[in-house]
Amino acid sequence: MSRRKKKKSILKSRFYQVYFALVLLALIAIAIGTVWLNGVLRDYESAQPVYVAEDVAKLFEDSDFDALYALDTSAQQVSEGDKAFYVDNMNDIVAGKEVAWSEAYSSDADVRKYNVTVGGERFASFTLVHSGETTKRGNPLWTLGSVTTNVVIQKPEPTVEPTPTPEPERPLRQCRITVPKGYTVTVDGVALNEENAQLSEKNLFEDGFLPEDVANPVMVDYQYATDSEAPAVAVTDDMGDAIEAEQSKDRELTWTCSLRGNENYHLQYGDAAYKLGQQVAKYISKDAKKTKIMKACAKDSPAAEIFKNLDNEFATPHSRVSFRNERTLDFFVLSDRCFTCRVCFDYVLNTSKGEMVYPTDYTFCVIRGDDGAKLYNILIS
Amino acid sequence: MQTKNKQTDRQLARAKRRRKRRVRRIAWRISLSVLTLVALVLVGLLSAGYAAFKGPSRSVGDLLTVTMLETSALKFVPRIYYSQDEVDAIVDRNSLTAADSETDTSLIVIQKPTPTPDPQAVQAVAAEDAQAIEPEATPTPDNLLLAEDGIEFYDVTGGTYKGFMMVVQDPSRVSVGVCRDRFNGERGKQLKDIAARYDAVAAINGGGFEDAGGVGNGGTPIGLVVSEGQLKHKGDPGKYNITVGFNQDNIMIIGKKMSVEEAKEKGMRDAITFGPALIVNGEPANVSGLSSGLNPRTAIGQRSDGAVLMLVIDGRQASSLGATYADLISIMLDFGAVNAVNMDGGSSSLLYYKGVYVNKGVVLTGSRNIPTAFIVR
Repeated sequence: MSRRKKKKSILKSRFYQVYFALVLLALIAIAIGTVWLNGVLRDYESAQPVYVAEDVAKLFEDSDFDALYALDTSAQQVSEGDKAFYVDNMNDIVAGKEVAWSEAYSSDADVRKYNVTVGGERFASFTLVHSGETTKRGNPLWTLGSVTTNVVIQKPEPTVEPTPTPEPERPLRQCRITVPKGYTVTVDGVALNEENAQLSEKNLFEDGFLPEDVANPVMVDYQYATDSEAPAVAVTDDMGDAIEAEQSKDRELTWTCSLRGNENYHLQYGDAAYKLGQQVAKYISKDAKKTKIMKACAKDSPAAEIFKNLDNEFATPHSRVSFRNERTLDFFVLSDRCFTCRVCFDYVLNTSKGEMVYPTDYTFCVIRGDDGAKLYNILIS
Repeated sequence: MQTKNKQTDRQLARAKRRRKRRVRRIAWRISLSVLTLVALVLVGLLSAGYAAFKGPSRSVGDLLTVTMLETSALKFVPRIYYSQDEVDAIVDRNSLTAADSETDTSLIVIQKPTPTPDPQAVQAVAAEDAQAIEPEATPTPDNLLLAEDGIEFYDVTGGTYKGFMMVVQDPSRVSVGVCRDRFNGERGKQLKDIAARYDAVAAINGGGFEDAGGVGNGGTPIGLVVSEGQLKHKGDPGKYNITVGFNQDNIMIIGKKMSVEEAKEKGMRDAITFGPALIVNGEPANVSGLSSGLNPRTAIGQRSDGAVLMLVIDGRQASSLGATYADLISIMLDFGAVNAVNMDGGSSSLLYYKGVYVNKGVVLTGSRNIPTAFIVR
């Protein structure tokens, strides 16, 4: 049979038709099977925990302790919440050393455990667990379970401040502050009132010192118990302005705040008041006559009565008088026509026994009238 | 007439020739079909193999490689797809590294058997204390299959394997049995025959043996073999160089490349060589990747109370693909092993008890011929 005839007979032969068809089908099936198998294997591989483990291990290899701090279940404990401390110490431990990781024994089939070594020493471990999700073909996926570092970071002991020795209890002491009524007093920042201090009111001047139509300023006396060594006293007047309270040199914990003096009156009447004071002192020491003083007094005033009856017979004999430390102060304007002031000086008498110094403090009550300022009353202390 | 005869002869000859051609044609077609079928199967297998070994899943490629490398018959398959360097790299990343530490015998404290209480003493105690004291019930593990005569059998199951754990309470009952007193190259014996030789009640296969091409006769062991205090074999163990056995105090000793002198020093009464060591002094070996392939396995271990653990895992079957070294470590640790070593596996893995093979071996004839076994009297 010729080749052509043979070829024609092969193609026509049912056997070869079936044969080639089956071979073709088989090859197609093999190709499809291989593609399918590749898909199955690809899906299986994607679910392998080793890739998740590689991602976690990379954090250690890259020394990404910033990210590891949030994952490390022991980080909070060893670093007492100090992330910077954790990161710094971990970097110190890992610096320049080889980081390696390997799978370790896990008693639970659903948990994969891995150890991380640094320089050959066990450094940390982490686990992978099933995430609950699966691939398209149902292979379970893995996720990070926990990370635990096996190193001990010695956080420096916090500096312990020595317990301050408690101050011995100080006894309570009474402090006394006298201020015009309407003024506010605070002691060590505590505003004094009826609830925390004893209050008593008294007139600034004794009764009868001022003319009847002039209101006697009221002073409030605060008595306040304090254990403070040096209580800070602050006073504000009725206008809200701070005013200085003068602490007594003679008595402990005693302050006095007088009425606000009037500087204009001081300027206007200061010299006259001083001169009058001098006259009074001289009269008492028999160095001046009463007439000048009586001229300065208001008619039928208590001052006039005082000087009329003032006895100066027992004045100390002396050759000369002089005045020292003279000052006029406390010009309190009590009404349109009445004011008080103080004249203070050291009255010095030169006697045969030497200088005799008499500290003198006069309080004048002066009334102003048509005939000028006249002395209404005097308080000699 | 003659012409007619001639015509008939020619027709007959033509018919004969036609018949011959038809027979030849049929034979050719059958041969072609068979060859084509074989070729297609080969193409299919090679394609599947290529997808598995060189495809998108490195894990599958590694698993198949290490599994096949552990067999005798399929060792060559990975080399179809990988170069030797690639195969070596796969083996490196899927291995097990045991600690080199010396076995710490102080970790094993052999429990003395509880003495039988004196009946009279029991009555005296009962008379003193009128209240009956109920003994504390010990919970029976779910996987306990049988417990008799100081031997317990447990069912062991994992994701890819099934097997059995035999626990022998008294370690003095465990020793090494050999197929013959002298290894002279003659064929080994089946496990049940080795057990019968010692009148043993139970046995597991033991160490490795020379098995070139996977068709060895099982008659020549590798490495050190000591049986009942007598040296039976020595020599270079090669790759499987872990010697495991029991000393005179019935404590399991594990040694790497143990020499005869070392065995004497340690007071070894019985020893077999294979490996790797799975657990040493309570520390599991470091596992890398898969640690090994999936295959039938045999392992032996000892608990802290001295009880000997004998593990056999089925493999290469639909119901049980096999176990890795990591699986063996896991099982041994679950049973409390302080020390444990892998024994010969594959078609050798068998567990024998009172005349029957407890597990399902892969050999159709029942058992390979082997030179050594751990027996239980």
